[in-house]
Amino acid sequence: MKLTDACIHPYPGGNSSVRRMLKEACELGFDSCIVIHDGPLPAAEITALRGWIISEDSVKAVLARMRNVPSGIDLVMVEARDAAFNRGALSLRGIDILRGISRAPPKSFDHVCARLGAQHQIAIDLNLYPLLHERGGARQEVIRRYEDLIQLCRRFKFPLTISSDAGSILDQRSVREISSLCSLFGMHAWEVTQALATPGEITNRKGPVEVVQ
Amino acid sequence: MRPRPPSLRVKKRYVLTEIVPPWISPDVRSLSTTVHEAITSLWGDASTALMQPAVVYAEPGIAILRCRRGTERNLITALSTVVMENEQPIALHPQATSGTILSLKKRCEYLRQKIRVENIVWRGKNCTAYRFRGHKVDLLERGIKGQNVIFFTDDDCEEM
Repeated sequence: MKLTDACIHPYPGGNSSVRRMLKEACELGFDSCIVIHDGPLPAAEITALRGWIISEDSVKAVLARMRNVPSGIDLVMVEARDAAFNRGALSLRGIDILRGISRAPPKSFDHVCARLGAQHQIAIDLNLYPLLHERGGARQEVIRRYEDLIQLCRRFKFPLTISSDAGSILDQRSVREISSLCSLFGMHAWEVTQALATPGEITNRKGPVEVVQ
Repeated sequence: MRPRPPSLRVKKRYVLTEIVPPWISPDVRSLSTTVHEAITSLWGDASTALMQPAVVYAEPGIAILRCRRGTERNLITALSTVVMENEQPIALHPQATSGTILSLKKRCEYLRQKIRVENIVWRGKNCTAYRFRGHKVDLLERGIKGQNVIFFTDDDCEEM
């Protein structure tokens, strides 16, 4: 089981280089990271997977962007919007993760989206960045939404991923810290481990068919 | 005031924390204020009062915090939400929990780092480079608008 941070933004998007972020992730207990980076990925102690974020306002625009996804991309992520957009996006082929639920309008992820996510095995991302950087009402809103998401996940069994969304090594957290942060919205330790292993399972699923003897 | 007998004393737990970046010299008072703010913001006044958090020891890269026994998990969660100390971005990574400061100070040896400071020019600007264990390099760039830190490794510096 590979523990993966589902999104990091190295330099020039953030203030830390890819090598440094991968080194820190290794020290924090991760086995791989999804890196949002245009340049070549260096060889490191842990596996670096290449991610691609699509941020559009309509499903039609998402489809157009998906035709131009460069080769060598391991995982395609789409930024969540309103409920209609999310339902459309969760029905598309080729999307692996729906992210940014904390930034989407309220009630944009409902039971219909949850069912579609489970049906098409599209993971929903829990972004820990707002939990660290927001205070007061904004953080309470994020915790409330994630708690709702966990309840839907337990009911409909769609996959979850956890990302630090870090642009700096100072925003990366260890597996143990992530586990305690996720306990804020009622996630059990085994659920956290399962969510951290989801990106690895998605990339394995997308790989060539293996003959098992 | 006479100290209470051991059976009546409140049991404490100590949490060893790594401060990132390790070249920052933390002031116990300001670190204490930051930690209190983070705990109060996350758990509220009542829980913070029961937790009795305090910073008992700090040196560059390391801090030891105290709390009431049974509340250390809440303290660790709150420490994860510390992102700024004295207008300087930092991170606190809890490393170990113990019932005595002595046992944690023995573990401090693993966290202490030899830091080499150099002045270098990067993209035409004078920067201070902090080099330490694991081929890590932190570039501190001071300008009119404040300071900016960039985190690299030795390999990145060679490529540039």
